[in-house]
Amino acid sequence: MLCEKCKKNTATVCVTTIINGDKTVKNLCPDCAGQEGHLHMEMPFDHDFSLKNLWPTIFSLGQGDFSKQSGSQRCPQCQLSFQEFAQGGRLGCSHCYETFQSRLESMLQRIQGSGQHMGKLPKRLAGVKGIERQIEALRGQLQQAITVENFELAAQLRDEIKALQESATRGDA
Amino acid sequence: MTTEKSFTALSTKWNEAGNHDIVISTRVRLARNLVNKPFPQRMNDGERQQLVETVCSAMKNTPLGQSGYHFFRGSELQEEEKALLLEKHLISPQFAEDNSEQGVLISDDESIVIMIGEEDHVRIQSFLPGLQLSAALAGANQVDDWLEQGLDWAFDDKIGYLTACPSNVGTGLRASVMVHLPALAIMGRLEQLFAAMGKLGLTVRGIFGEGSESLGALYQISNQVTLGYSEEEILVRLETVINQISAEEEKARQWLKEQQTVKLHDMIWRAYGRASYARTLTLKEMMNCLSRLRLGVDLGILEQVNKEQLNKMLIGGQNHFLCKADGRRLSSEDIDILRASFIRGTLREDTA
Repeated sequence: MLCEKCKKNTATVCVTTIINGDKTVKNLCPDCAGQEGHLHMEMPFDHDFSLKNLWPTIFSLGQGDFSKQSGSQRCPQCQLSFQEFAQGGRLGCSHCYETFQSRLESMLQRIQGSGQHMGKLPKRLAGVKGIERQIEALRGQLQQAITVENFELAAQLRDEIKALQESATRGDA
Repeated sequence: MTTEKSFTALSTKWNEAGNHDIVISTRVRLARNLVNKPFPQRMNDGERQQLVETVCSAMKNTPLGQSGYHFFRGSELQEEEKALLLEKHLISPQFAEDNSEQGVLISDDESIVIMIGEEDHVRIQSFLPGLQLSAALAGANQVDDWLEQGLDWAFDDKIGYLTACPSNVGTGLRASVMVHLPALAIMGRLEQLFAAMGKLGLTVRGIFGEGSESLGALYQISNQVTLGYSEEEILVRLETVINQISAEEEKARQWLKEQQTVKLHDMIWRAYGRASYARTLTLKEMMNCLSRLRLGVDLGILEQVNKEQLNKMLIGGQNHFLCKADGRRLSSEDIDILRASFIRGTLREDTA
């Protein structure tokens, strides 16, 4: 809808004025609304931003044939079919991630970006995984040190990485 | 501390008055699931009951279990009681609507609320007033650490904590900040701002969660992406954007104050007049009045009202709290009458 005043821009502001019980509604662009000095403006807020409702859409992007393909594949653990998931947007159990891995992966990339968990680790894994992450971080620093030819630091980092690798193979945290 | 407090007290942790104005409150929630169990939606009542028992007994052995908290079995909670918890934002609409076996655990100060058997097996929520993302995360993390001693969480090396909806997988973290943006709303700037937020991986919603409309210029801004970043990184991103929005809102407020002085004052005093004298008030009307009053208080224009009163009205003026205080089930017309009288009464309280 175009702005009722300038008839150029898109009307995004709905101005409702009530004077002595007479109600007038004008659809204006933000500029004209501002110029008219309207302060009693309500933003329309009927968009539903929730991902839940977008789910089927996200799914059909780029893989419109998923239902034909193997939508009837079921998770052996909870019996959820892929089609049921695509419709409801909820997986049935943690094993579903394995069962539908290949198709979930590409979708996760679309909605989540990078596919590697970088956050908290459960205590039972924190030891080994934590060391792996430290090594990963140190390797980055090592690369950096070599690039700037800081060989003293590089040697130090290399030793640290070695020590961590050894403690990882020993299995202590 | 009585069991009743959660259903009667008009104050709660996130609602504590402080010197924060644009950012009202912070909520952090972690989604966790047990290994080798179907997600709640695919559980039968027996399995759900067992889930509630398992999580509860793990909780009992933790410091939170030993200090004060209340546990409510979903099946024991009356519909009205759930509605009250929802009006306080302590539980989700989905949890309130679900009538199957579930449980909710609420710490005495209502800073920690654990929903059992909602979309995921366990959802740990941590509430604080103002912008306190790190502290809220620390609170939720602490509970997670405690629970983890007795429970085995479903976790994958690559994609992290496994959740019923892939949009939560990874950290299982949803950090959500409630902001009050009346000046930007008045100036019609929100739509642009919200569109930009989508590009930054953030979501904007009304104050009653997914799909709810905005009331009284209050919005919840939260992270959308949960995988690929650490919890801290997610919070930093959110906090940066929140600080920018706060600065924009502050600028808009100052502009209104300086350039539209009469209109701004008129708007605030009209809201004060309505709130002080109206004989009926719909929820929407009240929320809009409260928004203007809060703006007036924040800008030092309205000295007749203080933040405690505003916070009290924000919860106490909700439908179910009004009915609870009255002790009856009321028609919506009667609720509007009661609401007007509650608001008048609360505004008169502090004139001394």
